[in-house]
Amino acid sequence: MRRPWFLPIQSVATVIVVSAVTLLYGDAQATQEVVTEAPVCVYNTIQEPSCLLDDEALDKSIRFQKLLREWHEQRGSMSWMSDIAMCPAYQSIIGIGPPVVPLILAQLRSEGDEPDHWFWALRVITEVNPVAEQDQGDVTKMAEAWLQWGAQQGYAG
Amino acid sequence: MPGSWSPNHFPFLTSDNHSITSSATKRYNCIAWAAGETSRRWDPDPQGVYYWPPGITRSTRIEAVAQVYETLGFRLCFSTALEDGIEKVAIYGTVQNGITFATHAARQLLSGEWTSKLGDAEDITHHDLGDLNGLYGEPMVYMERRRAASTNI
Repeated sequence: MRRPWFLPIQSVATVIVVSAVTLLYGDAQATQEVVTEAPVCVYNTIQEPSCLLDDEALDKSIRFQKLLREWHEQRGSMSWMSDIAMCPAYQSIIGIGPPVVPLILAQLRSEGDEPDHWFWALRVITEVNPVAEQDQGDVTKMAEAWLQWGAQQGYAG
Repeated sequence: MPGSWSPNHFPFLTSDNHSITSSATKRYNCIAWAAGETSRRWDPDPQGVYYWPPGITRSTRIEAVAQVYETLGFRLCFSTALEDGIEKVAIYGTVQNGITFATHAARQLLSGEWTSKLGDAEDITHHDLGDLNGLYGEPMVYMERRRAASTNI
């Protein structure tokens, strides 16, 4: 008479264990689905762009933008190009040498009808002057001349 | 609305003594603006990047800048008072090691006020020449010519 109450308890225990396993299995399956998809997402969003970026080009671009901001702060309301060009940040840009030319040309292109004072730096670095004498001082035409020269030299247009 | 220049550079420029008359631009500078030109920068940079009137030494010494206005018909004068039919410019300067360098030029308007282009920032009308003392030093040379009909502004 003591056993009958034991069996039901055992059966109840079995049901609990089976239910728990089912729940665990379901969770495990769901987790497996996420884990199965996750590497694809990671590969698509991280691996692919990192293949396209050139670390050296990125470093140069970051350095150039930093010097550009410093130059704007340093020059204030100076009137003369000789003063503007002697700002330490502008001299640092010139000091980078030929590798900075494509960055300057890209910046010049982005400035449109209000080009900044890049002509001095371009002339010093490249030792050429593609600006026609009659266009001296007309900054829009000067920018056009330099961008045309850049295209002829193979810099991206 | 404040201009795009640094207020620290012009401690005497207040909201009461000037007004902004253009947007900021790099297409011309103060020397060109005082000469009445808005399509070129006049600058004696030694690289020969910008325009400088032919025959004038490419120098920022105040005498070279005065010669530029001389080619436009201006002659030295000693009064900044408004005179009927006379157009005046003032050249600002600073002295370094005994040499006076030009830093800025302003042109007198028919009202007797002055118009200036502040670096690459905006053009302004200012009441007095001293309003711009500071970064530009102070006005040192005054020049005048007969006012042409086209400059009656």
